[in-house]
Parts: sequence; structure tokens; C-alpha cells
Amino acid sequence: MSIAGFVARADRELFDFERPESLGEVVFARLFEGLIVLWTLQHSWTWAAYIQRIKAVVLPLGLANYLDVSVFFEHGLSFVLAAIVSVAMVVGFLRRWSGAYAVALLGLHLLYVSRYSLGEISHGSNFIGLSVLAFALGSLLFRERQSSVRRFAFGFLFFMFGIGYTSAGLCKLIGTGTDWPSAAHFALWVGERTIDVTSREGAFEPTVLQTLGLAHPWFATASLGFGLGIELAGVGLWFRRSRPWVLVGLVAMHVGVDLTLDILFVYNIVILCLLALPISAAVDHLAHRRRRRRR
Amino acid sequence: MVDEPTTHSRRAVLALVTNFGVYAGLVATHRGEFWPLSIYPMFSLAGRPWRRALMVELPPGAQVRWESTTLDSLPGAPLSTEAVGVSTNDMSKFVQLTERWDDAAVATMRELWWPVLEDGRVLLLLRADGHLDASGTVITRLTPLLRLTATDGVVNPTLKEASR
Repeated sequence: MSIAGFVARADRELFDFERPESLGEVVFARLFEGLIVLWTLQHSWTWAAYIQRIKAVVLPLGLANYLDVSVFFEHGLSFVLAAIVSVAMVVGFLRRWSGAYAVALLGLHLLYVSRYSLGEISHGSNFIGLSVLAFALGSLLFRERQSSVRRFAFGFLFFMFGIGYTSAGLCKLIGTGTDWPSAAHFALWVGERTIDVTSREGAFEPTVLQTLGLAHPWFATASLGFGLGIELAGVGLWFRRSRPWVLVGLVAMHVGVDLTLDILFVYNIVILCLLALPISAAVDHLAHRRRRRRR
Repeated sequence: MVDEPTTHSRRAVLALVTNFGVYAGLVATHRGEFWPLSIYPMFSLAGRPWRRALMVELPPGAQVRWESTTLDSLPGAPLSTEAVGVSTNDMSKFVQLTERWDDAAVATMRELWWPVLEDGRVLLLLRADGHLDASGTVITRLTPLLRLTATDGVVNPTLKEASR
């Protein structure tokens, strides 16, 4: 395929800049963006409060490899950073300055690396960070046309989510091998989660799926195999035809992870559901019916 | 503007490719993690031994027994990390990465658990190590690491990580 052909195909599958934007698409995109703004504010202030309790950097992440983020641990400086992120997110949402989301992303990254400098790396907020990155790039690259900002942001997200999930599946095959979905591995993870849940809640009760997986090795292997398969299929998000199926499969995979390992990726689930549901088509349908009634 | 969509398409694809290159570079040079980009290494290494942490409250007046134990015979009641606003993951990772339990490490753990310690309660931090044995059975051992009170922290003297 030539470069021009590749660009044309990528445009068709991910962006579709030439197609006029419908009312439903505008409404959905602004609601989605507003939700990302709210979640970003929530994370910023939650992280800022936690950062004030941290005493030492155990594992520097990202920019923390080059900057001493311990300065944010004292004198409420993490709250100043959260305030900057909040203002920048609102300015970005209102389209007052095309660089606002980029400033917010930088601040959010600093808060993240400060918050997670204790060692454990959280992936729960990755989709929120990626969404801010998507709107930051869109605002900087397409400031002359708002519809293109939105089209780029969603195309970018499908591209990055696809890479993220497929690479996660490949990492499992590279790190462990084709026996990754074995029942013994399932049992070892349930053992680990037993300690984690006991630590988190002070007590542990196995879930129905954990009990099933421990009692029936075939069930454990089947559930892990499904998860691995759907992760590997992540790049299906790049293509219009396979996208809805992959989105539904990924939601099922996340719900399965929650039920078997008690790890809830709530933001991933909500974002994937929003992208899977035909919300913009429903808004267009309602608007069309309303127009017909008026006639 | 007839050529605008084409310009936008080229710009968008260039941004994707550039971003992908930056993604690969940052993730490759930062242990697989450069938020909000990561390779999601969770669960990649199946079957490997794991290490987590658990805090228990010692009964009043109880002496610490520093030898390893099992989940069925804990020396005290498990305490919920949520109740004190501490992340379980943070505590476990802190235990995994702390090579020497010096004053700073003990102070961090006391700071995290201060809401409970200031009530005069005595806590014991346990390190949980799990692995699969030759028959595929999960074995979990819990080793006391640190006894914490409102006034001090005592590191398990039998551990090589003890340095105080």
C-alpha cells in the first residue's frame, strides 16, 4: 500500500474528516469531553491530597526521573498543581486557548508521577490521561476547525486503545508463553488477590467465579483464554467494521477481571461502553423525529 | 476549502505515527511505563512468585513472634487499608521495593497508618510471599516485618533488611 493509500485508509477508518458532523456526534463528543474534564479534576484533587502524605520517592516514574517531584510533597504545592490543571481543563473545554489541554496534561502527568512515586503503578487512569492527550493534540493541530478536533480525538483514542490492549496481550505471550491461560496461574492470582482484598477490606470472601475457577481448571483456562484473545484483538478497534464487536468484547473482559480478580477498571469500562453505545445515532434519531413532528 | 480534509488527514496520520514513535521510545526507556502510555504489564508474568503486604492489629499486651506464619493463623486481626485512606498497592509495592528498613522507610509507614496508631493501637506489618510448588499448589507464607506504635517502629531483628 502506498503512503497516500495508507493515509486515505487511516482517514476512512479512524477520522473521516470529510463527512459532515451530525448534531448527535457534536452532542456526544461534548458530553464525552465534559466527562473527561470532570474525571481529570477528580483525579487531580484526589492525587493532590494523597501526595501531601508521601514522605519519599521510592520509584521515580516518567518525568520524576528528571525532576525532583518531592517538592510537591510539602507546603500544599500539589494543590497548586491541581488548581492549574483544573483551570487549564476548563479553558480547554471552552476553547479559549488551544494549548490549554497540553498544559493540563503536563500538570496531570506531574501529579500522577508524584502520586505513584511510592512504587505501585496504576493503570486505572490511563484512559483518562490518553483522552486528555487526544484533545490536547487535536486542539493544537486543528484549531481552525472544531469538528476536526473531535474527529481526531476519537480516532486517536481508537488507535491508542487498540495498541494498548494488543500490546498487553503480546506482553503476556512474550513474558509467559502460550501456557499463560493455565489454571495454575489462575490459582496463583487468586492467592495474591486473597491477600490484597484482605488487606483492603480487612476480610476476604471468594467470588462465585473464583470458586468456579479453583474447582474447575477448564473454567479458569477458558476465562483467561477469552481475556487474552480479546486483548490480542484490540487492534480491531482501528477498523469500523470490527470496532463494535471488539468494544463489547473488551467490556466483557473487564467485567470478567472484576468478577474473578476483584480489579475494577471503572474508567475503562465506562469509556468503552460510551464508545460502544450508538449514543450519537440515538440523538440524531430523536432530533429527526422532533423535526418531523414540527412539520 | 476543497483540500482541507486531505491536509487534515495527512496531519492526523503524521501525529499518530509521531506519537507512536514517542510512545515506543518513552515506554522502552522507562521500564514499560510512561503515563498515560504504558504496555499494561499487569499479569504478563504468570506463574511467578509474588510479594504483597498485610497489616494486622496485635491484641493488647501481645508479644511479637517474628517467625513466619500462614493466613489461617495470623497474629492479629487484619486492618483495612481503605479505613485509613491508604492504597493496598502502595503498601505492597513499598514492601517489595524497600531493601533496608531505615528510619525514613519506617517513618513513611507510620505516617500512612497514623490515624490508627494515634489511638494507641499496636500494628504488625506482614510480608506475604506466594508461589506455586512442584504440584501446582499455591503456597503463601507471611513474615512479620515491622511492629508499629504511636511512639516507635521495631524492625524484625531476624531479617537481613533490618538496619536499625
